[in-house]
Parts: sequence; C-alpha cells; structure tokens
Amino acid sequence: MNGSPILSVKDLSFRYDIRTDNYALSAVSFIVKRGDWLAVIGDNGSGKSTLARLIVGLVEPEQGSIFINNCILNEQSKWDLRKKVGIVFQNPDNQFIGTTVQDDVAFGLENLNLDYHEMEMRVFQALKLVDMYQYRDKDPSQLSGGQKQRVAIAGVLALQPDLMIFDEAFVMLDPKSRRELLNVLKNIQKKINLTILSITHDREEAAVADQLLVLKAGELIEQGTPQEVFQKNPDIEPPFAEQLRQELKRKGIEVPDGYMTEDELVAWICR
Amino acid sequence: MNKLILGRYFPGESYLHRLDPRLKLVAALYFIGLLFFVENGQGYIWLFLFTFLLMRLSGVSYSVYFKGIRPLIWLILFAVMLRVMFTGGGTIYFSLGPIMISRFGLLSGFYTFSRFIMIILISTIVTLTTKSIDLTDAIHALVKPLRLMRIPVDDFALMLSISLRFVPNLLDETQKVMDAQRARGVVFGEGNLIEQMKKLVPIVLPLFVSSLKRAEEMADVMEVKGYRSGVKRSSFRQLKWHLRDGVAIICIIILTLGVSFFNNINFVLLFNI
Ligand SMILES: Nc1ncnc2c1ncn2[C@@H]1O[C@H](COP(=O)(O)OP(=O)(O)OP(=O)(O)O)[C@@H](O)[C@H]1O
Ligand SMILES: [Mg+2]
Repeated sequence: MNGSPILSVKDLSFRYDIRTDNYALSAVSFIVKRGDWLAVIGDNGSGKSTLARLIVGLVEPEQGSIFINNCILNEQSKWDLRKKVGIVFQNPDNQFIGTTVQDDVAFGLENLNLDYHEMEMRVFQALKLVDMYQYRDKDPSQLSGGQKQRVAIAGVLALQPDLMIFDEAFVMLDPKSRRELLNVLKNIQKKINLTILSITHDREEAAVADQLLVLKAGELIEQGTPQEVFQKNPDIEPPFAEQLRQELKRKGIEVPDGYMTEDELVAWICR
Repeated sequence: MNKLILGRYFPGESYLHRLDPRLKLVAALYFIGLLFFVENGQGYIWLFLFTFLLMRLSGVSYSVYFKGIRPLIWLILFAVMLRVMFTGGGTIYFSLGPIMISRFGLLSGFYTFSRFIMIILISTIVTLTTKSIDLTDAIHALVKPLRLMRIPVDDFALMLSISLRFVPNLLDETQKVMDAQRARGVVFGEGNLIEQMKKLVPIVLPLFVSSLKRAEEMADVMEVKGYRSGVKRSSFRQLKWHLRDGVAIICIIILTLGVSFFNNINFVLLFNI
C-alpha cells in the first residue's frame, strides 16, 4: 500500500462566481503519496483554503477531478470519503459545535455512531495529545484562541482519518507548543502511515514537509521538496499580515513578536 | 446588568445540581400541577416548606431568588387583586357594586399568590441548578417518542444546543460592534425613541451579517464531520440514573402524600376518574 497515492488532484479549476473570470484555482494538478506530509504555501487569496474546501467536497470543482484512495470524489461518494478525511479550518471560533471541550471532540464520533466507551477512549487520547484534557469540561467562551484551535485539532485526531488537512490550524499556538504538536503529529504520521496536508504561512513548518506546493493567484507555480522550492524562489514573500507587522515594528510601534493571522492582527489593532 | 434571574445557571455542586435533569424537569412540572390541587392553607404551607428546603439545598442564597421574583411582583399583585375583588362567599367585609372583599376572596387571593410565587421559585430552582445543555438533553429525552411521528426531534435538540452555545458569542460581538460605533462618535442611550432606534441599525446589521457567516462556517464544519440530518448517531452525553435520583422520587411521593393528607382527598381516586 505504501507509496500509492492517497490523494490525486487532476486539472482542478474553480471560481466562486461564474459570471466573472476570477478563478480561485485554475488547472491545479498534484499527487500526494500515502504517509507524506504535504505543505501548501501562498499569499493571501491565492486559493489555499479553496483547495482544502474542494478536497473535502464542500464545493464542487468546475473542471477536473479529485481522487481519494483511488475513488473519485462526487456527490454520492463524498459522505463515505469524508470518513477518511479530517479537516481543521482557519477560524477556531466557528468550528466549535459542542457545548464543552469534550462534547466538541466527540461530535464527529457521534456522527460515526460509535458506542460510548469507544468515544470516551478516543476523546481522552485526543485531548491528551493536544494537552487539553484538564479543560475537558470548559465551554468555548472560557478558552483562548489557541486553546480552541487545539480542541479543533483534537476533534480531527479523534476521528483517526487517513488524511488530515490543516488550514493554518497552528497559527494561534505559542511557538513552543506548536513545535511540540508538530512533533506529535510527525510521530503519529509515521506510526499509522497518516497523510497530512498542511496549509501554512510558517516557513519553519513548511520546511519539515516532504512535499511543498506553492500557489499564486490560483495557480500552482512550484512543486517539490522544500529545499528545491526555497532554492529556486528565494523571494517567496512573507504573508501580508507578517509584512504589516514588520512594517509597524519598523515604524517604532510595539507589536507582539511572532506570526499573527490577519484576524489576530485586526483584533490586536482594534484592541 | 441583567436583572432576569429566571433562566440563569449558577455553577455549583449541590445535591440539586447533581440530580438527573430529566427528573428535575418532570418533578418541576409535577409540582406545578400539584399546586392546582391544593385548596387549603395547610397544604400551601407544606408546599412552601418544601420549596424553601429546595432553595436551601440548591446552595444559592435566598436573596437571589427574591431578586428573581421582583420583576414580576406587580403582575402577581394585579392578578391577586382581581381574585380578591371578584370572589364572593363567606363573611363579606366590604362591598361596592360588583367589587367586594370577602373571606373566600381573601383566601383565594392567598392561594393565587402562593401559586405564582411557587411556580417562579420552582422554575428558578431548576434553571439555577441545571446547565442549559442538560436541560436541552432532558427535553430531548422527554420528547424522543415524537420521533415516531416523524418529527425531527434530534435536529431540533442540536439546534437548540448550538443556539444556546452561541448566546455568549453574540453578546461579545454586540459589545464589540457597539465599541466600534462608539469609537466613531455614536452615543448610545441618548435622544428620543426614534433616534435611539436609528442608532440600533448599524449594530444589528453587522451582527446579522456576522451571524450568517458564522452559521455558514459551522454548517460546513458539521457537514465535514459527517453530520447528516436523519442519520442515526450515538450520543456522548449520557444521562445516568443514580441512587440520589431515587431518593428524590421518594421525597416527591412524601410531598404528594402530605398534600393529599391536607386536602383530605384521595389522589389515587382523583387520577382514576
Ligand atoms: N466564499 C467566497 N465567495 C467568493 N469569493 C471567495 C470566497 N472565498 C474566497 N473567495 C475568493 O477566492 C480567492 C481565494 O481565496 P482563499 O480563501 O482560497 O485564499 P487563501 O489562500 O486561503 O488565503 P488566506 O491566506 O488569506 O487564507 C480569493 O480571491 C477570495 O477573494
Ligand atoms: Mg485561507
């Protein structure tokens, strides 16, 4: 099984508004081997989240096709394929469905109709992995952004999918726990042959990937191992929020250190 | 800021907090039903004693309960006055046209007053000691038989629990939008009614938009996590029956026996009619 593609994307095109010519993705093709760690980078609005939404079947491609485990993704197959694919979205606030931390982690398990003891065990393990077990009875209003992000990650870990997609899912974690969590994921990945597709602005995170995709304005402009990609394109720009942050810093304004998402930066500026 | 006590939860670990929410809900409804069978002073005193005992057990101070009654007190007094003035019988102390104050009138006024107060107190006890999600679970469990009539009970229960979960978010957001408007020089709580209403528009619109966006994102998350309406799913939240729930039932039976004793009516007979 090892080495066979778990995900293969062929000639994928998509636009949100078919009246315009703004393609969020145009003619993107790539293949992900089982057990690989794939990182996707690109500027804001380059179509990374759109790609993730296409892969989990939330939107349908205008052209091209997606194969997961050699099975084509369409209206009929999406419910079955989703059992093998987990995704953590960008905004941790709006993906908290349960009333408490453990309810939220269990939500996907309930949908699989698992029995209580199985759910209890998986929730426990997943929360331990993201170091949130002591918060299991808290509700989302009592958690910070990073903690909510951990819960969302736990929710996907508990599902034990073959393919995990993280859409900037680690940005709110402090650097130390981000590194820890990435290590944990690396270990699990090796152990159970998990495939990870991680959308990120973090150079460090992109560098540990087996494969790196670079999107620009909806087009796949670069593909290869991180070393290859970075060598060929020394000028891959940091994301806008990061540029703005550095610009502010240069102007002598005291901004917090470390990468912030646009939302965080907005929240920080409005504070 | 918010004076309404009814419907709020007070975190705690008391006996009442730990009771099964289904039991609490049914017992509260039963108690309210029971109130309407009592037609004598002793019966009400007996029920009042029981209510106070529960308030004590809940571990929430009495003043909180009375704060809960206060916003409704005029409504209650109005209803009581109507009862007093238009009920005749027994010794008449005062009369003017159709209005009179009689012995029976005063008594039935007292009954009405007691019923209102106890209905409020009992509902407050339940909501103060039960998390809204547990109440949702209880309601869900109790209306489950409606599934047979093809009513999507489970979807409704999930909807209810998600809405409850978003109330704090909505309040937060309202605060943020209001602050943003304030920063732009809007002063709230000034001007006549129409002016104040106008100022609400720039608050309500952004809230509406952000709620829609939120709902859309949540729907996506639920879909990706495999939620499908009408498909059987298990439940992580389990309601378990404990010994303490059995004890509570015995207390309710004793309460009922007390009421029927004071009423001199046989409840069993009454229910068999
Ligand atoms: N719901 C939507 N409706 C219409 N256009 C959209 C929608 N979502 C995204 N777009 C557009 O599609 C393009 C790609 O957006 P996408 O969210 O995929 O970018 P991204 O690479 O994830 O950016 P970011 O780094 O900011 O997350 C953007 O030009 C955006 O304006
Ligand atoms: Mg994105």
